[in-house]
Parts: sequence; C-alpha cells; structure tokens
Amino acid sequence: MVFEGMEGEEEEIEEEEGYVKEEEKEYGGAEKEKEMATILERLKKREKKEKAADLVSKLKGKKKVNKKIMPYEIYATSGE
Amino acid sequence: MRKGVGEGTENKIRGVEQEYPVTAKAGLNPSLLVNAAIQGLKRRRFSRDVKWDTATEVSQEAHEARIASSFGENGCRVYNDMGHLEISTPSYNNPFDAVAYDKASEIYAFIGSKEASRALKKKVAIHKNNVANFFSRAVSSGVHIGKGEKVNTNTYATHGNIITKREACEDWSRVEKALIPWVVTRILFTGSGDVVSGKTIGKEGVKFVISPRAMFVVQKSSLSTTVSRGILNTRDQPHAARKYWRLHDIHYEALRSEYAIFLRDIAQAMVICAFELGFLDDAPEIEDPVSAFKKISLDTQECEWKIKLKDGSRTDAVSILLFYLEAIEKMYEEKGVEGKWDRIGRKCLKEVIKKLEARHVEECVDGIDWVTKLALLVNYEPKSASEGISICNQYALLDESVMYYLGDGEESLKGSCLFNPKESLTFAKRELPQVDWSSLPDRVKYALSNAPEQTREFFKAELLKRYGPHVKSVSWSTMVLNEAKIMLDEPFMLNKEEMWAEMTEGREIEEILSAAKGLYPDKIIY
Repeated sequence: MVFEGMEGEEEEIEEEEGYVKEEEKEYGGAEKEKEMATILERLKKREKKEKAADLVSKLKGKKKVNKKIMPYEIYATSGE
Repeated sequence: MRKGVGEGTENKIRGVEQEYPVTAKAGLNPSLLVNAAIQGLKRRRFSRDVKWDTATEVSQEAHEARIASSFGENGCRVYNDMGHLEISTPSYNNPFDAVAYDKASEIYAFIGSKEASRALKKKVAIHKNNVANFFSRAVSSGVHIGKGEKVNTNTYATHGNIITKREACEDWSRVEKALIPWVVTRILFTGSGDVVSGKTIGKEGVKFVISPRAMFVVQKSSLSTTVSRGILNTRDQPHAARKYWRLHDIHYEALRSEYAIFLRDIAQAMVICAFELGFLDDAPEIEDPVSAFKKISLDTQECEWKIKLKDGSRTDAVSILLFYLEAIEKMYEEKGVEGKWDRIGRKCLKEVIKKLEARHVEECVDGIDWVTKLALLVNYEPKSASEGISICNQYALLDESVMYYLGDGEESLKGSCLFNPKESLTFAKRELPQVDWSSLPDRVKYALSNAPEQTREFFKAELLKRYGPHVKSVSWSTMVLNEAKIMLDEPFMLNKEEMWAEMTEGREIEEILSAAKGLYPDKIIY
C-alpha cells in the first residue's frame, strides 16, 4: 500500500540456488522420485506465490467507501 | 470436572487488558481526559470507587502500585494507566464471552468518552487501537512528510492473560521454544493492522503493517512491557495461588472483528493446553524470531510470509501455524477431552489456515482486522500519509456504532466509524455458523453489568453490588471485607453454580460468608 509519504517495502528477492543446482544433476530411480517430489513441492510454492501476488489488487472493490474521511489525529503517549 | 465449569479449554480462565487513547482536539492533558471518562463511568453507575489491594500482588512496574482503580459492575477494572483509559475485562472461560466482554469493554470506553465530552464541554474521542501516529515539525533527524513534517508513532497495548500451570513455565527456555513461533505467526489472523512510522524499518514515510505491535519488539523475552520489549513477557504475577502462572501476553492487539476475537481466544487457549501437556516441545525454531516477526508483519502485498528456521531450512508462517494445528489435533486424539468450544475453535482454526495457505486473504475482509483495514485503504486510495492514518484511526473510533451490539439497529451505524459491526457479524455468522450469534446482544447486555457466571469474578462482583459498604479492598485474587478476608486464589471458586442459591435478596453478609467458608474453609479468614 503506497501513497504520498507512505513507503512501499522493497521486495526482498531470495535466490533459489538449490532449485537450479538440483535440476542440473543426473538422476534416476529413488533419487529421481525424491527430487521430483522436491520440484513439485517448489512448483506448488511457486503457484502459491503467483496466487499471492498483489493482495492490493485483489482487495479492490471489496469494501465500500461511503463515509467521509475525517482528519483525525490521536494524541496519545506510549503506554503499558 | 469442576462444578459450573465445562471441559477442555473451559478450564482456562482468561481476560484482556485494553489501553484506550482518549483524545480532544484542544490538546488537553491525556490524564485529565481519562480521569473525566472514569468519573463519567462512575456517574453513570457503570463502575464504582474501590481500593485496589496491591499488597497481594508482586508489582513489577513501579508506576502500577500508584494507580487508583475503579471496579466495573461486570467485574472489570477501570483505571488511568499512563494517560490511557485502561479496562481489564473480568476473567471468563470461553470464546463467546471473550467477544461479549470485549464488546462490553468497548461500550464502557464509549460511554466514558461521551461523559468526558459532557463534563469538559469539548469533543472527546476514544479509539481502540495500539498506535498513535502524529506529525511534528522536522528536527535534525526523523522522517519528513510533505511540508517539513515528520511522523512519529507512539504505541500502547492490548494484553492477553491466560492461567497456566506454573510447572509448565518454570523452564523459560521451554516456554520460548514452544510459544515464540506461535506469537510470531498467529498475527496472520490476530493482527489488527495499522500504519506506523517508516522509522521502524529505517525508512521514510509510513507503512501499513499486519501487526503494529511486532514493529516495536527488540528481543525474545522481557520483563518490562515498556522498554526493550520482548516477544514474550516474563512477568510472574499469577493473580492466583502459587501453583499457577498467568501468561501475560503483551502482543494481543486491539481487534474489532468478533470473528477474530473469538478465534484468537479459543486458538490461544488450545495452544496453551497443548503447551502444558508437552505437545509443543518440538515446535520449529525460527532462526531470528524478532526480525521474522517484523518481516511477516511488513509483508502485506506478496503475502509470502517467509521464515528461516534455525536448522537453515526455509518455510513460511502458514507452515508453522500448521504445526500448531497438528499438535492441537494430536492432543485431542490422545487425551480425548474436547469441549464444545474446542470443537468449534479447532474447525475454525483449520479453515482459516486453509485460506491463508491458499493465499485467499481477500476472503477475510470483515473477519480479520488487518485485511479489512487494508481493504479500506485500497478502496479509499488515500492521497497522503495523513489520510492513510485517518482511515485507520476512523476504523478504530468508538462511536455510537458500538451500541449496535445492544440491538440498537442500523441508526447506530451512521457515525463516522469505518468498522461496521453489521458486516463484521455477517462474516462471523458465515464462518462460525455453530455459534449462536443471535444471542450476542443479550450476552453483551448481560456483560455490561454482570460478571461471567463460571469464574470467581461472579462472587466478587455480586458481593460489591449487594454489600458494597462492607468491602474495604479488592484485587484479582483477594477481597477484604469488614468481616473477613477472602482468598480468591482458585480461578473458579465461588462461581454462580456454587453460590447462587446462597445469594438471595435480604440475606446478611455473615450468612453468605458462612456458606462460602463451608465450601472453602481455608479461604475465608475471619
């Protein structure tokens, strides 16, 4: 959520090193099955990421904006 | 099973302390405003003056010993804590009452603000949130917003309490191992959402976060709640017999959604039961929980909620929540004691985790507070930091809409508050159909002036109502009368089931005390 004076968090991109390395290996039998399972798991995660992307877009139109915004400030000290 | 108390998590008493900021545009001293609200509540007979017996408590924050308290008709404690109106709910033992007493607390706060407005002849506003963002002229350092202004964030709290076995908490490293991953990841459904100063992440501007509380944590555990705040709080103040430990959770947040309040309460109670029984001893360990807490809280766009574990592997917050769900399921399978609320809570937790796992977060608008607030921000499209802050503040505003919970109808929703109880209750009814939400107005009405029937609060509140002049002082676990001292150090003692037949109109206090002594010979001291 970015608006004037509101800082959008920079996306931290994690390198998926293991993913590339494992694909380069030669494999077969049980090892192949294991790696396929790992790849499928990663694909599942990737799919999740696709679905996850841009919550802001998904929320468009999900809430009515029929009330006037009042310039409220809360004057409160820190507490506990 | 104890008389008047159900099974499973119903054996756990819990309660919430909420600090409400009280504000007037004239910039009056916050303590003056809070005191006016407290006086107003007394005038309206929501509460009464009472001497709080601090002698029986181990006060670990110096200022707490000097706090003057009043006692709410429903057993809550009302006081001025560092310039905030603090209301601590009476202890209850089920998630429906967690909602009812939280909403009763909101109504107390609203009535207090109205009475303060009347007394001071100023518009006094009260909010239910955990941060105050304010602008000030730029100084040598700080964050600049627009015309030479910077934004600062002050934070105040919502604390959750739950009675726990002391033996389970004696080894604090075990508590940390079992509960830190829970506190860090549960924010996906317990986060209140708000904007905080970018300074919290070393950047400019303001940032919307899932959990504003997470942004102010610096270590795993701390005794203090005000400085160098920890994820867990080590305060040893059971408000009960020594065999108990009150887990004082300083990372509850100011929620408005009934669904979220319900789910937080029952999920927390189930997790604590699992913890006591050793089902969480192999919880996944987060490599750096403090930074993970903040990182998850900041991830409101991609919702990846990545976490690195101590063993070097990478996962996400949802997979950690799944661990807790599985541990709870295993506990009920092996131990077999599952109450009505546990069954509902377990199903609800499973369903919310499923939604989060599929990243169908948008389906949680009106149910999870941070998602609802983000939806409001997205659709209002604020043009400035100030407008974004106002939107969040307006969601937290306690106005006439809180009266909707007493069945006041749609008229009450016409104020400027952006939280809509009607839409929120529609979500709760859809997601928790096993709960009789139609009975909530009656329960909130009851909760305004009566203590929960199942806990010791019942006896305390009834005694104050009927024999007020005999009461010299009270605390959570004691009551000193002219005639005797009562040790209320067992959470369920002298509840309605045990005492109602004795509490008939016109009886002398000596008769009541004698009946109580018959049940608890050692606890009534003449």
